[in-house]
Amino acid sequence: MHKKNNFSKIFFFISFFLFFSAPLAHSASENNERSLSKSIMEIAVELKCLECEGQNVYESNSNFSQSIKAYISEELTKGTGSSDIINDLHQKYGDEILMTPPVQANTYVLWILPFFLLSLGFVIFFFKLRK
Amino acid sequence: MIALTGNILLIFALLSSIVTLFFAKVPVIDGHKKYKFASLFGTFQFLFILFSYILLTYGFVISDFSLVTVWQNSEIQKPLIYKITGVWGNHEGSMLLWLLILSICLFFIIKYDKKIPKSVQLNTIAIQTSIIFAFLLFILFTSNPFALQLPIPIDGVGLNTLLQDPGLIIHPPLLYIGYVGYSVLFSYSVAIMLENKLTDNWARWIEKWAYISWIALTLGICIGSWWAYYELGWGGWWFWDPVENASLLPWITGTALIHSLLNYKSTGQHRDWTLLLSILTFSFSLIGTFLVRSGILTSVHSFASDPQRGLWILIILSFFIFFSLFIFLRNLQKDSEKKDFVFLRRGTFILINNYLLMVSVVVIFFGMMYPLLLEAITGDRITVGPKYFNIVIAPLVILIAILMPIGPNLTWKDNWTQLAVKRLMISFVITIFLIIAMQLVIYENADAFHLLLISLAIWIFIVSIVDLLPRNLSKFRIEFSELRRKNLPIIGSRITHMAFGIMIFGIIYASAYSENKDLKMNLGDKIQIDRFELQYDGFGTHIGENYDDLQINFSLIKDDKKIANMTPAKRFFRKSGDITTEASIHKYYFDHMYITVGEVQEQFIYASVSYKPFVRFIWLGGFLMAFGVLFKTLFRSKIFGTSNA
Repeated sequence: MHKKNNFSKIFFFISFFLFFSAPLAHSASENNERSLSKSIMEIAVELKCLECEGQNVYESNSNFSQSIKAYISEELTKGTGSSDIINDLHQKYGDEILMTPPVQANTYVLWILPFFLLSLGFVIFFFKLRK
Repeated sequence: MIALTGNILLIFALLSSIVTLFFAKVPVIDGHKKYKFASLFGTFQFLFILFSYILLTYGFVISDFSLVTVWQNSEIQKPLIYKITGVWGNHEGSMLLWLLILSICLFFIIKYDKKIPKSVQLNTIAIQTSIIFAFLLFILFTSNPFALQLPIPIDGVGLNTLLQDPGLIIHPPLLYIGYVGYSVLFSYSVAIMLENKLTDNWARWIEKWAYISWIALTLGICIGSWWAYYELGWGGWWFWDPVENASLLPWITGTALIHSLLNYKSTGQHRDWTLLLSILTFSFSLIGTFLVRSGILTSVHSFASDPQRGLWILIILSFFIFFSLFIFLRNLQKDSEKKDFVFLRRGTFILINNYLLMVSVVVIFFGMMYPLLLEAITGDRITVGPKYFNIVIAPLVILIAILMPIGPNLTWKDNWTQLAVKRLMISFVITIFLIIAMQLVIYENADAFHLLLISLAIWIFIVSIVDLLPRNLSKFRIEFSELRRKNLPIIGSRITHMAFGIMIFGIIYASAYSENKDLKMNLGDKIQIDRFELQYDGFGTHIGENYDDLQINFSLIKDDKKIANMTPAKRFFRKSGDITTEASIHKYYFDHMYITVGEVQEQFIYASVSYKPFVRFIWLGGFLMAFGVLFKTLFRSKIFGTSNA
């Protein structure tokens, strides 16, 4: 009896806390006047510099990165959308150029494992709790 | 001359370690004598390694280029301080530093851990010595810092220019003290398991080492991230780079270990898990070293790597990991756990903490290794960048942040008390109030995710503070004196938890509300950023000891008043011709104005300007975390079983 009471208290705590914080968020307003350089940066951080060791295109100054940045800038002025530019580069250079691995057959394990382990924890926990 | 002496010293150290192992493990003589000899030769190992280290430093200081290591990594012109610290700015020297710290640990085991039963201590000395022995072989055969070359070159190649920085002076030694400090925990744990005879105190012996290593590792990581922040010039402070991950993994298991030790000390539960954690932590230190030194994982800050060295370290680490796991499995106690499970007890929260931390370790390690595995199996090449880690770590951090303040409010034995409920309620109300106030004062937009994390950071902070309040205000004085006498360690852990909140706050706030601008500026141009204006005033030069700076001058203006000069620079190193970008950072309360300069032309420059609010909380939090644990270490409650912190 006592136990259950306490548990509901803590549960109430957490859920109240979570729900209360959510409506406080303002929706992020889209800033329409983004400068060209900012768009270049946003695309360039998503791409890996294939010549360097562990740097993205934005951070690096290698020939590869400079040519990619020039390409992005050119495409942007032509009016190509960001995702199209990234797609084109993805087509050309393969998965390796994307800083974040796409969700596809060879990365399912990578993406699912963390959430699987987390849910496994929940299952074990509630199983023990019911006992 | 130096080369010869250095080699001789290292060989003497090797011989001493063999003799130590002989006395510790071979049953020719018995009892006290055995211990005495093992200690003596253990001390010899330490002294020989210390002398060889000093000798190498001397070689760097006098620029003895007959040593290959000195020639490759130093030059006559280099400032003295970088000659001394440059010893660990390269592979060979840094391995010697590893070895030196290993032997210092051995020395401390011999000299200061006197209360431990002699048999356990002999085993510990033996295991620590065998680690030293393995690394001595490694150094002598694959990375000898005393390798000789003739004819002697006139000047050296010079130290990697990125490393000529104050951050380098203390970052590597601290990190190594952390990594290698865990070797002591490893040695003790394996020794305890070999004896399979537990006295009540073992948690207390190894607790001290767990704290010290954790403090050093935390400081090392903080300084490393600070160095990356201002020296690499991208304004980022954590890149989820393999080298950083390699230091984060032992940090996380070390954190789990500290909590698990508290649990064991107070309830006597989960002994095997605690021992396993201390083995794992050092194993991760070794794995990190292996990954970085072998060149298997490439990274911005790896030294020149060599597969042969990788193979050696792989052999060493496989041996120690499998050996310790074998001993562990052999001695697993099956019936040590009590079966009753009370949900609202501190131990439960520590178990959850350990589970979440171990999931983080698995996830980070898996994310690091996945591209390698995938390429080896299918040939597909992918990149796992920072975004992936942020996405998968975020839910774990959220859960940890929700639960972290609740656990310490509970008792070890029963369900929680009225007092705990009251405190959590009060903290909760204050937190909500603060979040609303923050939203009213700061009109900036944030998405729900960032706001949630900021709220949780405040939640951790508030609970930790409320938790420190005396139970009954009218009895404040009595409570306070009691606090001083008995509860100092508790203050330490609350400070650490609070600091974690501060750090999370800084991380999230800075990434959610930072304003970045990449722009082209003509002379006299003014730009608006946050509440400030920034004006480009032209450029000048500055002559340094072994470099020349091209300084770009900016005025930082607030309310039409100039408040600071900012001078980011391009640094040209005369010898190597390398160019580094020196960021200029202006502190404004807890915020940073951060400028780096790209291309510089006669008429215009490309500048990258960011305003990062509360970014200083990241390092403030980090250092405070280390301080909290230091506080706890200094005032550890003396009696086993009565500590409730």
